[in-house]
Amino acid sequence: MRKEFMIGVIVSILMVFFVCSAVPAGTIELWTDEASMDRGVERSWNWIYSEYERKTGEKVKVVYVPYDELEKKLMAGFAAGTAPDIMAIDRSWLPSFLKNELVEPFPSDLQKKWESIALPVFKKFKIKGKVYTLPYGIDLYGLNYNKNMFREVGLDPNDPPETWKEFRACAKKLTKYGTDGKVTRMGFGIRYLGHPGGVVHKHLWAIWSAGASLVEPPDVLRGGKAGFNNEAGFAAVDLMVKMLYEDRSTAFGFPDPRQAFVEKLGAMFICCPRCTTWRYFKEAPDMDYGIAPNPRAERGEHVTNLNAHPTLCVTSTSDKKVLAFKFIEYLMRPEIQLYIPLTTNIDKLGFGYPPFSKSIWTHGWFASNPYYIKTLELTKYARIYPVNVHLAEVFEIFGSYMVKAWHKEISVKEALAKAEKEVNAVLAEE
Amino acid sequence: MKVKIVSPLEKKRWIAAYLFIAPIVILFVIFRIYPLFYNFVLTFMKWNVFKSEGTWVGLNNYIKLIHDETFFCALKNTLLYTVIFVPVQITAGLGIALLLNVKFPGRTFCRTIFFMPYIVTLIATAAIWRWLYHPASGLINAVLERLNLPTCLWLHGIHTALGSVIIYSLWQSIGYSMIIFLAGLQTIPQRYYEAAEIDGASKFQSFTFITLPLLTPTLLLVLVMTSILAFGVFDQIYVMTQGGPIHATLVLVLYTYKLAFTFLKFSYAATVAVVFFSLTLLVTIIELKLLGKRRMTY
Repeated sequence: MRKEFMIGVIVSILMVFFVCSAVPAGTIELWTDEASMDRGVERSWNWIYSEYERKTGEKVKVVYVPYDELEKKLMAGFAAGTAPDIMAIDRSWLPSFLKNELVEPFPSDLQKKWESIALPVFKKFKIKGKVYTLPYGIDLYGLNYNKNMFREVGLDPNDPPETWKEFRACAKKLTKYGTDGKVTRMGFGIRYLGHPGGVVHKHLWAIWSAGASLVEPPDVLRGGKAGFNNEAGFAAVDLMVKMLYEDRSTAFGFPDPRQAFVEKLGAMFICCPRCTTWRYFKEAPDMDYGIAPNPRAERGEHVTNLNAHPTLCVTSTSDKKVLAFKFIEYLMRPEIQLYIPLTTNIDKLGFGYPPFSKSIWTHGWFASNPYYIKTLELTKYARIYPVNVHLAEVFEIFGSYMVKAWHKEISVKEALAKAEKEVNAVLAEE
Repeated sequence: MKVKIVSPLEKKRWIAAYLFIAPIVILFVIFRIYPLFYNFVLTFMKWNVFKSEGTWVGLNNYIKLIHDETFFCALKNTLLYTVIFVPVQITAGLGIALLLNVKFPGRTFCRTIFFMPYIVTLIATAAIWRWLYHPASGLINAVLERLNLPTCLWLHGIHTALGSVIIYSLWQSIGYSMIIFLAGLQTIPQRYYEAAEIDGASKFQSFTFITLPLLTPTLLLVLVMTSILAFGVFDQIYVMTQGGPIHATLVLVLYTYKLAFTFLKFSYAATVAVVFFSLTLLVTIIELKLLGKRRMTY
């Protein structure tokens, strides 16, 4: 009995030792969803991690989590004290983490380096003058349109619509109807399903271009007021109502606009080229598509959402901040900055991340690539999401009422009024 | 006064019995009872999940709930779902069980077919049905079009989404109630039916005066279990619609989940959970009281 007891104690001690030594000193832990997207991305990043280890002797332990679960896992990690050293998140999640002081700002020397290499548009990512993240996957929403369909209906494929008026006219001309009068091909693919926040993302171009906003002022972490219950907000939401019921150039019941576009059930839609071009290459190789700035309101400007996913940041709970920032600095090296966009989506010939570093954009491959040329054009109109801790709720509330109005469940005026009331209540919370 | 003398052997047996059930009881207390009470305490606080600390806010969360339109929308959807799902599930389950209680060739195969949807992973079947329901590329609308019948937006329509989920749920779980009813029907002695036949009772009279009364315990079990399942519906809605379009399929459990894990409002989510728990408990007690009185034996 005593012998068995001693064996049990020794085995327990050994087990504890092995568990504790699972993450050796000098190893930083990084949580990301990148590999869930694409094998090419996974290969590229695995090479970066292995090269980093080879050159510095320091390991990066990567934990891959699907996008939908990543924020929840991080939240659980922070609550349990097991959060990683670096997290690769969607930038729109940043306010929630900032609110709870969970993200470490870059040290001043690293921030200076960040500022020196960043393409000017990415300086919008600074918050109150500080840098918190190194963006890698950059989203810039633009109008994707099918040039073949443009030619088919007699439109100039090199002259995409500029204003809302032109946009509506184009969409109407591009729409096809069945014998029963139902839309069989949308002139414009409307995103109305799924998370209301996702619906708002795809309609912000109209809200901003009209002159409205979700939160005013947009750069306060707490507080603010809804900025959409006005003439501009009305016009932005009403645009889709008119296209649905007056023009009948879009309709419910179609697949997701990206899917509809690939299946040639839609002639135009708004999305980030990064998420879509690789799909055309694979699923619709004969697609002759164009990318253009989002249509602007008659008296407004072109606007495009600028977001970043993934964007890497060091957690304030990390006890290896120095090592973590060392890895971030490594990622800023010119050869890595070039490698990532060249090799992500490697199976699809590198229509990957737009580079963060301005010097890369002048590299021959990027400077001559039509996709990157268009993406660079879109940066002129870039606007970032409000930096507000209640952003997720604002998206949810506004998105729900906007879609209600699109379904004619309530009037646009009523939708905006109700959404404003709820958003202001949320923004007033601590 | 009677004094019960417990022999040492009996005492040892009791101790052994308690020791055997102790692990599960401890786990039950830790993972079920304690969180239940802690959840209740959370409703009076504002909890910061990142810092694992909270501030006392009294009844603020409950007051907020009273003015929360989304909560009432979720409540309405949950009640609607339950009110439609439960009677149809029980009626259809009983009907199929009665049919499959009769001996005929292929009866076992038929029982398997009806039960199979229940044992296949719900997530997988819900994902398949989401495709079947797709208005543009789904099989259901394709078949309807072929037959020149009107098509539907199904999960994409505000007025059809909840009904579509109910149809799926019925398909998925009808085997469950069928199996329980079948088991219940097996316990009814055949001699009662024989006696009734001799006395000239019709099939309907046999069903009304023999089957139904003697099936009451089983009926009560199915009613309570189905009601609890209906109130707590989550998985299929999460997979198929995520509560949309525009909250048309938002139910209480999904709302609680969103509050906690999307908006990080744990205290408020706990409040909704307490209300949900109370409602489920109330309905279960009412059902037990009403139907429990009607138990019958011959």
